[in-house]
Amino acid sequence: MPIGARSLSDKSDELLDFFCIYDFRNQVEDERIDDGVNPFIPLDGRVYNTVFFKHRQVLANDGLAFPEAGPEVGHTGFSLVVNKAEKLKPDRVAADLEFPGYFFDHIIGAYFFVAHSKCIIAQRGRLVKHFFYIEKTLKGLWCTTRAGQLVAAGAGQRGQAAAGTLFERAPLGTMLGMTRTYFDWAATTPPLPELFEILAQAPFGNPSSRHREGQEGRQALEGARRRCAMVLGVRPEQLIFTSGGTESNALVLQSLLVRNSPAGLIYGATEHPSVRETAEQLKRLTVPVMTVQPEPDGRIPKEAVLKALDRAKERNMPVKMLALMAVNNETGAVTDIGEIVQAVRTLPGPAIHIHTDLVQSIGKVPFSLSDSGVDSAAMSAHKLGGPRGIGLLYLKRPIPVLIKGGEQEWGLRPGTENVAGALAFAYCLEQLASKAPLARHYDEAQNRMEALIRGLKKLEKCILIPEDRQGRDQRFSPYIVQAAFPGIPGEVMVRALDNAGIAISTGSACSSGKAERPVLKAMGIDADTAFCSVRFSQGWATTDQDIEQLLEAVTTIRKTL
Amino acid sequence: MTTYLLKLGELTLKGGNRSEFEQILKRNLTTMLKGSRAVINITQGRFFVHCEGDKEAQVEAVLDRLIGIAGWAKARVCEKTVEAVVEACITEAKALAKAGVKTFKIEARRADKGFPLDSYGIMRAAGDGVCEAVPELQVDVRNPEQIISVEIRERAYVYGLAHRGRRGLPVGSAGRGLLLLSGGIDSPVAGYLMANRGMRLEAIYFHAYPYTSEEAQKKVHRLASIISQYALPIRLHTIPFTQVQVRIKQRAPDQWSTVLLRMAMMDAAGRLARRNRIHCLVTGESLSQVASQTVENIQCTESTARLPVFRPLIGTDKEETIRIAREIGTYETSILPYEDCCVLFSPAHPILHGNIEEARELYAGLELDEILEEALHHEVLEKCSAEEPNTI
Repeated sequence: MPIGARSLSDKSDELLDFFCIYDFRNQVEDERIDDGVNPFIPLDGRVYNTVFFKHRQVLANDGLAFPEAGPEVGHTGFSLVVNKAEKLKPDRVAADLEFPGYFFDHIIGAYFFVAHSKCIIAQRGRLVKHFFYIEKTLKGLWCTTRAGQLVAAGAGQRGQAAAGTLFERAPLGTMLGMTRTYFDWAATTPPLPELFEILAQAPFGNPSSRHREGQEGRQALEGARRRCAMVLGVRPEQLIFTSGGTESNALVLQSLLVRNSPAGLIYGATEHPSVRETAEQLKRLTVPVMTVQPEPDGRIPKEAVLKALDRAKERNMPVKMLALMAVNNETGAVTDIGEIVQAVRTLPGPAIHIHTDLVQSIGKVPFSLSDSGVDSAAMSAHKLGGPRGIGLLYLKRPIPVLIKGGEQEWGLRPGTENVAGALAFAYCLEQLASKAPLARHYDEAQNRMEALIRGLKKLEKCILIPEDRQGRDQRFSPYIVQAAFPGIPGEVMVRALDNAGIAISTGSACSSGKAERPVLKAMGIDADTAFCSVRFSQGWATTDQDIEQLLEAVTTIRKTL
Repeated sequence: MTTYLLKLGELTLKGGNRSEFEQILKRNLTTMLKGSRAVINITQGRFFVHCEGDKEAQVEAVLDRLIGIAGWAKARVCEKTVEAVVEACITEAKALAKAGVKTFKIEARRADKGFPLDSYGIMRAAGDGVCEAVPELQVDVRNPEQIISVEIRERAYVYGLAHRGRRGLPVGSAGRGLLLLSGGIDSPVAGYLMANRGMRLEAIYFHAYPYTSEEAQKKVHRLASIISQYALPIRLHTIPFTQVQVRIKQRAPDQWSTVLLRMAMMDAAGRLARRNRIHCLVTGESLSQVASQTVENIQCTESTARLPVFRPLIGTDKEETIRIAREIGTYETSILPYEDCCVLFSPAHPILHGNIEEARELYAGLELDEILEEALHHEVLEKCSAEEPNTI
């Protein structure tokens, strides 16, 4: 790893002592990064005597022209090309800078390739603290060229400053390190750049404390809840913060254990392990459970649900809960929850609690929580540009819960609240799950998915799962596609693509390492095909070029392996 | 200072070259004890290891793993007086009684003829002393549960509870072999068994990324490290084998793929062995355990080896293999779920009784020569030793 990336994240208060000038094209020079003076060959190919910005060593050169080409895809780190720099004296530090740093007289160009760490950029003698300020302060300075590349055109230099902002268009490669192309968005997404600031600035007080710090925490938490409720179109008190999708699912399912009357559960055979395994455990604890089988395309139709309910009735099984996911995490199959809710509600007899797992649908696929009529729904922030460890549970009305403790979240989810996480989640929902961005991203995702599916269909020996999946297919989320490559085990495809710089997975990250593929099995996919099957999942920052790159790599692998 | 006494097993049956074996054993022990500052003495065919008290655990762990000794015991060292010797015998006897031993006898050897009692006298005196002090122990000279040994040398040594050694012959006394290490349960056991016959091992692993994972490679490295706890540091040759697999997949009938792959592995291993002056190949094959290990298919795979192939597990039952794997500590690593190449490539209906002529023909048709040389050229050589971190 280039030294810049590591150093920048190590010590935030000394960031500027660790700046690194980095030559993308000269890997060999990079290896010797530690011994001080290195010849630096910028992209124009001229050799300059420079030093890496390690411990107050600054480069200085005159009139360095910045070329139009982008950096080689390949690194994390941050580099600046400047023509004059000197150490700022403490008294010259501007009020808005929280730490001493270098003064950069004139930036000729800059590369940005840091993920998950704070970094600093300077523009015309002004330091800008965090890289998420770029959008505001350096707009026009950045532009993207190819997938995985982000080029700074240089202030006042020849204009490369065209498209996009860092957040919207900076390809993920920029966030993760330039070489990689990420197609595992269903497992987790890269964080929105603003997250660091939000997390860092969240009040630390315990919302249950009476003092000022505590009350600040309480205010922030309730503010976050209101914002989430606003986006989701529900009442704030219907939302409780949890640690993520798994907990949200389990909390609802486990409530069956604390009901006064006997309670049974019906769940989809293609559910995520957090539902399937919890249901299995409930079964061991004597809760009657039953599954609903999907159609061959992986969706669960209302007829199947009604039939399952009939079957339960025949067996005298008292069904109290129905758990169905809105978007399947392995195939992207969309189940029409609203329609099922309507159908179930018309049935005579005691009301059935309908729970849905929205982890793969919220912020991605249009879904109205309030219109759907479900009783509860699980959501997770890290599938939406947020941090791990924060999720939401929508509860139409309170339910009895298994785990008891403090009175946090109305006693439904005891434990000190994750205020910073809640604020971050609220932000992510606003950015991605609000109507406008959601519709726009959905549309773009559909275009890209169409291209991907078209490309996959052209490939020899590639089976889409299900086979009749179309480029634009309302039955599926445009963010996820499952495909099998007979003869190449899924795990091998994952490794081969990983080697080619592309991250994918076989199925749910929660069940990787296991040979079985229960979701595909439930769809009636034979074991051999399932064994050779992988999942491609995209996100808001995936580009057309990423798709091309993926298809190219898959084609090559298909040919060689 | 703690003293351990080592009993040599099969070694003592050796005639004129016994001292050679002893020297090898001493060298192995020195290597394994590195860092413990223990001192090794050989006097009159006895091995003594002296170490500081705080190194006892380390030394005992080494003695437990040392191949080529019949047993070892922690000896009590005492003054060369009759009273001291009897006292030491009583202490030892109490320890035996505590361990549940019912019958014992005393054996004495008097190398220092200046000692006032002769061997028989020592036995009598010590036996009387023990019977009086530890009444729950009975003397049984014919069939004792435990023997308390007394040796009068430059000092007096008394030892009771003997630990069973690994027996066999010292590693390095029986030439060198190249172990085909796959990551499964059998091959590490095969390697251990050959090491137990004195063979010094090198290991070869065929890595077919992306068909096989990095984890599988690490697992093999770890297995080699575990074997090296007994068999001394092992050089692990990792050979990139993806191209070979691709060629087989392209050109060979599906049902033959496993046999042909194994033929290619034998071929590559044979070439590597001869270049490294290794005299034989070692595999974990067990007759008819899987389709590729039927006698006909073994004939096919061996045909490309061009060196003797040792298969110490050929007649063992899987359960016996697992028992040994557990005992030497490779089992837990072997069963980690990273497939080796054979598993991923096994066809649905593999050929069970391959015809050698047909196999030769198919193998020649693969034209692997260049690919194998290329693969061998890109070998990665690592040294796996007992000090490796125990994590994967």
